[in-house]
Amino acid sequence: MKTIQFIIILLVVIALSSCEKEFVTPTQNNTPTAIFKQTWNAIDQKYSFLEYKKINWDSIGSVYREQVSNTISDDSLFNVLGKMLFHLKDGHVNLRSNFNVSRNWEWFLGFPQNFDLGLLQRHYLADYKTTNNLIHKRIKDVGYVYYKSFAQPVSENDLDYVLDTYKNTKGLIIDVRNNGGGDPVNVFAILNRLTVTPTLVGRTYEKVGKSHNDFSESSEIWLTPNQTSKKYLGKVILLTNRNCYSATSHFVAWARALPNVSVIGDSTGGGGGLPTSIQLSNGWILRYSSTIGVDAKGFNFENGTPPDLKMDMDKIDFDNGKDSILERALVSF
Amino acid sequence: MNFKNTKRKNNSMKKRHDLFNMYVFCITVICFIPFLSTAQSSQRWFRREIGEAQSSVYDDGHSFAKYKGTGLQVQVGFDRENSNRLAQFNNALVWTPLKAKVVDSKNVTSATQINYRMSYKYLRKIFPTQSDKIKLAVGAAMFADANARIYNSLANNVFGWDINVGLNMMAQATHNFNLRRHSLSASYQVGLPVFTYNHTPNYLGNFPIATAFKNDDAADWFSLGRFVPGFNDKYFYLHQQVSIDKNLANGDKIRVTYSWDYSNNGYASHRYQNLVTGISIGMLSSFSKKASTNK
Repeated sequence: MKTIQFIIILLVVIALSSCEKEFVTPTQNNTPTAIFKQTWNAIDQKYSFLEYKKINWDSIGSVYREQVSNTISDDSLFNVLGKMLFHLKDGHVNLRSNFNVSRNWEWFLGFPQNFDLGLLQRHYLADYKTTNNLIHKRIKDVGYVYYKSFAQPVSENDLDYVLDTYKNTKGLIIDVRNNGGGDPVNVFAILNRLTVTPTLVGRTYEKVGKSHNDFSESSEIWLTPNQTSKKYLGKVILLTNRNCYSATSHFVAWARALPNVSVIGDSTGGGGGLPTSIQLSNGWILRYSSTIGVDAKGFNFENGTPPDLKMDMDKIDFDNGKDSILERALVSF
Repeated sequence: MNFKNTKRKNNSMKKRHDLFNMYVFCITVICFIPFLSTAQSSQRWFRREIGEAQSSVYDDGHSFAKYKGTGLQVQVGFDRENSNRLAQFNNALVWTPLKAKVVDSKNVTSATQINYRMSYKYLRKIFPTQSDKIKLAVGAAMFADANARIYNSLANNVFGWDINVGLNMMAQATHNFNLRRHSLSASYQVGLPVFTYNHTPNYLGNFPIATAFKNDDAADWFSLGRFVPGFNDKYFYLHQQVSIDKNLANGDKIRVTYSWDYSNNGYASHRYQNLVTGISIGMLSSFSKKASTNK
């Protein structure tokens, strides 16, 4: 009898503990109003630039909340949320569903392009060299390197070859125009070759609480160059435009801490926060900026890093096959 | 911006680091004690089990949708028992592919969870001589429980994780019985935390944000840890296990185990729930067959 009782107790324990829904129960549901609330709350509590951009998120929420009811379609809901997120003016903010991706690209669409790869290829880069993801050529005794995307890896061997090629030039131009960002590892790989001195280049703050001003202590960002690797310690000019975003903005902002580096062109597009994301209960994915990045002097470059010399491409120059920004850089050495 | 001051807490981190090292050392020592024992009356078994596992995760730092899936588990360990006490050293590795539980199948995303649990349980038997009744044992367990989740669709926070290291109070009820001439033993085990060192991603990230960049020391990881006394409305960890053993004549055992491990953590800035259940079957090979007194 005891055996039967014990077995019954064991079975009851198993049956009770098998009620997974009782123990792991999201309180969220999938109605349009719930999805709206999740989106609004996620930005309200986790987005890092509400205070910096002086965005009245409560007011924006009130406007768009009225447009959402539990009877609207997914498409309509997506459009409302996309419009609401548009106010953040942040290229790192997207809402992604299986049928659309919301975005705000005003950070570069409202500005001159200031770059034309075809122009460079036709008039400057004949017989250029390609070392993996770096395009480079000696122009008027200046080393010119074009790097298309920080998402494309740059190896130590690539940099050894390029720096060795241009070690005896008057200067080095690193063209990161239209470079939309990528992996910070590549940022460090390049910057560590431009100095021999450990250098504080910036700081980052992580959002750690629900209040708009809840940030962590700063984490310092240092360059720690390997003393044995090849360096370029001469004058370096970075060429930038508004399409320089995210990791590229970090690259430019951090590079400005180096005494031998200057920047010519337009302000970068910004993107100073590290993007992260969260999934809504209907499966849509919300991406947002979760940190604040500042340069060595404490300048917040979310809206872009200004150049040392502001320049736009001149239309007459362009028609004559000249890249005004590159030409200005070439005469700066 | 009301940023907090930037003073580094090197001393505090060093202290945490030392405490963690102490934990690792204690667990290592305790785990090896049973194998160093020379007590003649003890029986010892090498145990290995394999089986199916189910994981269910809700972590609103990552997703407002619950993730759920079925995977595999492997358990390896040592058991030791004599007339007064029993000890169990266990390692369990659980791999579970997860799917988001969302209404629209087109929006289903996936993740993978790796769960590793290590424990050393030591229990004293109560009324050990009353062998015809349900035998109770109480004691404690040093445990470590680590979870890592890879969310395939999320940017930058694709790697979610949590680690719990601590001391559980344990209780076990065991009943030996015969069924169709087979000698069987059924047991139920339950454990609740006395104190835990919980290491969980904080508000947004799954790593100290500075580690996204170079040049940060490993001590920064300890900024995400916290000591938790017992359990409360923010932190709850419950281990349950039901085992049925078939005792073989040579001292070996065949074991079927149903395990249930639940954690509910609100100490980080987001709510995190993780339930890992599993059923496994395995063999316990006796180290002391000649001295076996099993029938």
